[in-house]
Amino acid sequence: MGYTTLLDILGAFFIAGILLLSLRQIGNNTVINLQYYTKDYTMQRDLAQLIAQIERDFKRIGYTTNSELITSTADAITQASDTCITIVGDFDDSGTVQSVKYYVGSVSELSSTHNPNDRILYRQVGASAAQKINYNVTYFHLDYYDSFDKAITTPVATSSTGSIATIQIYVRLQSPDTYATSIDNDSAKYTDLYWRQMRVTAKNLKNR
Amino acid sequence: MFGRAALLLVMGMSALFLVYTSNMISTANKTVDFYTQYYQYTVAENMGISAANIACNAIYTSVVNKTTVWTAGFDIPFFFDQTFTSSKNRVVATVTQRGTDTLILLCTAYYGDSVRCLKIRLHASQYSKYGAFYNKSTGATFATGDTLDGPTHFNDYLYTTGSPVFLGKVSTLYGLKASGSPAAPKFLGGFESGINISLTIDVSSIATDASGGYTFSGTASNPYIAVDLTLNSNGTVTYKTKTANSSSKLTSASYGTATTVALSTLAPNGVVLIKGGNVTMRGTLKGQATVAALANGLGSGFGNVYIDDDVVYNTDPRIDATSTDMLGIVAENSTTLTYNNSRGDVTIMGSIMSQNTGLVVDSYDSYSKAYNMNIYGGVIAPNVNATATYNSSGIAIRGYRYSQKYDNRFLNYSPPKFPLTNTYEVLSWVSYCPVCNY
Repeated sequence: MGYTTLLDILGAFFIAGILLLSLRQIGNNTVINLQYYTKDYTMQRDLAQLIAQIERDFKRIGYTTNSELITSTADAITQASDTCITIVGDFDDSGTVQSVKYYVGSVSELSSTHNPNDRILYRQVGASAAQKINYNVTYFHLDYYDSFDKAITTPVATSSTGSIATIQIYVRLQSPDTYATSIDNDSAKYTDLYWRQMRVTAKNLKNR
Repeated sequence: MFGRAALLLVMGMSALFLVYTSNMISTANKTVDFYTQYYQYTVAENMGISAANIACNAIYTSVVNKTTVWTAGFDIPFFFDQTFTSSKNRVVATVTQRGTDTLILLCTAYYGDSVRCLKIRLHASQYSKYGAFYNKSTGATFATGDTLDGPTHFNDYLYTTGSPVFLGKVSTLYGLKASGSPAAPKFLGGFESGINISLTIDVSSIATDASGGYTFSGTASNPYIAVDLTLNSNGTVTYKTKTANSSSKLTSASYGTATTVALSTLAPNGVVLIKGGNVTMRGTLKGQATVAALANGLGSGFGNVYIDDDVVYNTDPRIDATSTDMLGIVAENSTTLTYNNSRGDVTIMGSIMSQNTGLVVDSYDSYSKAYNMNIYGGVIAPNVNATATYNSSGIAIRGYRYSQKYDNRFLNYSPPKFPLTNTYEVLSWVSYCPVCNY
């Protein structure tokens, strides 16, 4: 009887120990997964919003209901490099044209984050203060092609921006902090998203 | 006791884990939702673009003699051979006419929960918007050193050698044939092929338009007419006419008395038509006018515009951008710079359209030296004609060196009643969500 009770107790401790260890592991994994999914969710949402903004702006390059305001394709893209572009159009359909400049800041602006490569993507309308539209950009790249689908060397000379027919856009986002892939965090990773728009064609570039 | 506690612990942790898992699945699903929404948005956008292309094609192919145009629109399920025929998978196109020359095409596409709207503004295209328009390009190959300004169109291939520069947009029917080393023409305003715009003057349309202007024409007994027209810088025009019953008699006949009258009085809408004859012109234009010469069935000896000296604006738009002076020259046959060896350089301002023969320099090889022919505007012609004789080094030695600069005002404005092409062009194209207006 006494032995049986002792064995019961020891067995219970043993089983409870195993269960506690398992539950601890499950708990840790749950936290890791939750971290991953939460970061992924946030990043996906940010990327979707960013892309919606970029696509909307790029598709309105050269758009105006008053043809006198933009008379040539060169007036619609005034600056074009691989990491910076200034486009012109009636982006808010107000009857006036504005310039919108997209560019990325330097990595030093986000030196407080763990990620050494993240930058701020700016969107500047006219001469107003630039808006910080995303903080997680690690790669923002633009390629330009002419009407014959031939790549145009960047930076595109101001006198040649009128030859731009299509634009290929690359955006890569990474989380500012890592998520752990194991409890000891020895192989931490950044949530990583990549989006590439094949050949944005601004319809209004063909009108002039 | 401990076994029971362990079980409770397991059950408790399992419950917590279930909550976590539920959250994770929910989060993962929401992540996919972003892609789904983006996919639906993209499909709706592409459906709208397809509908717009179908509708634009219907508009382009429906235009007959610049009068009838397709405005029926459509409302169709998009996936014809599938079961997606609900109201959530369809495209609707409507066409609204604004004024006489503008169409608003509205294409709305529904896909899933997404709806995208494309608003396209089309305008009857005018020849005057072109800096250079040629039906054929067999008369010329543009080479290194050549610079063409303004929109340029060829109803043919565009032939280039080396690296000519095209400042405006270039469109062609068949595409580009580039040669030389490097074969690298520079299209600073872009390039588009597959564009077919016939070079045809709508004679009846001009005659109708001239009803609000002034028509010079012969009589039943003397159907041949020649007009001598001087544009005066004070807004008047001085003209003389002569008529005859044959072409040869017209040449030997003398002009009648000169009459000077305000352009706005002579031709209130600015259209001066010479029907069944030729006009010889020069001078300084104050105001807007289109001078048109039609053969009226009398053959290639008529329907010509002869220019014997400078034709310029009173206010040069290159100096004063507010200038409203604007000239159109329309010839059913040719626009000819008459031979005059003592004239020297000549400047012609305006959009010059010559349907059958194009812009001609008369007897260019008979000049003792080479002068400059400065055209500020556009040239619309069936082919490129030689204007000078060149030596082996490519230097003009006799005739007129051709120098053309585009008048940017022609992008948005045209001389009075200048001929329309038989097609529409897209002026603006925008897509948005009709619900949130984004």
